[in-house]
Amino acid sequence: MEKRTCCNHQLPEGYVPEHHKDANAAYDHFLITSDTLSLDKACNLVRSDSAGAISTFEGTTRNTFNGQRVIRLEYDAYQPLAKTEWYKIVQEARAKYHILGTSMHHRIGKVDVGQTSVIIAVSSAHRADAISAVHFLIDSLKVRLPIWKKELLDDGTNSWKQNESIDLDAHQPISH
Amino acid sequence: MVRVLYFASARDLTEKEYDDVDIAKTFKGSNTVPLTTLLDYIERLYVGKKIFQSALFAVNDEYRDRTSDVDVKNSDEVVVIPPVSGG
Repeated sequence: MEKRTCCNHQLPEGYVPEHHKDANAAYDHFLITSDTLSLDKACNLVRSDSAGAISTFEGTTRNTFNGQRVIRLEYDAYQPLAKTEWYKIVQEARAKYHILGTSMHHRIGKVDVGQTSVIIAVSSAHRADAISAVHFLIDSLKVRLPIWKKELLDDGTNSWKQNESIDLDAHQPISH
Repeated sequence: MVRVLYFASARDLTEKEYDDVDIAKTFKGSNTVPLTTLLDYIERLYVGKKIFQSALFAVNDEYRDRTSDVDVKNSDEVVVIPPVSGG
């Protein structure tokens, strides 16, 4: 049997990489929770013997915005639409990159300064796909998911935020 | 009933999580009504409050804007989506 290659790397006989083209809850994990998030948990959901890389992103509450001091953020989400839209985004990521597993955990409720509001983890055989996919996924999340954050400032005022515009077309596929 | 769900700034302005609207009773016996007509009706309930400012909408989990050519009927769900800020 001819030995297969993937991305110019030769594979053992009979070995088929599991770069699924379809998003699926079996290997694409989605969680919205008011509990504290865990990078370990997010990574272990995507860990795979076939992976040469796990790339991650953590969003944390920063203590400043536009010259003012931030006390905390508070998040809300419309979960059913967030889930269906997230799986559309992951499907698009799978068309651009070779991905093994993904996980996206987003917190709702109060997230104090320094704490984590979102974690994205992606595993792939080679690091370029994982790194690029994480970037694409967090940018897409910020544009497309029905999630909102309210910012509480140290002067006692609060306001619902609006994300800045992001050019999602800048995320080009990786050719293999 | 159509359930219209409010989030973020829209929820603050309406001071409600949702409104239920009976299409047949509200729109003279019609079973369906264009989304934009429903939204006009809701806006009149909250005169002076810009509840739909820059908002998108979701009708049964599909994103729509104010001008989308889509009809809603009783048992549909419409979500008011002010500009998002996840992540």
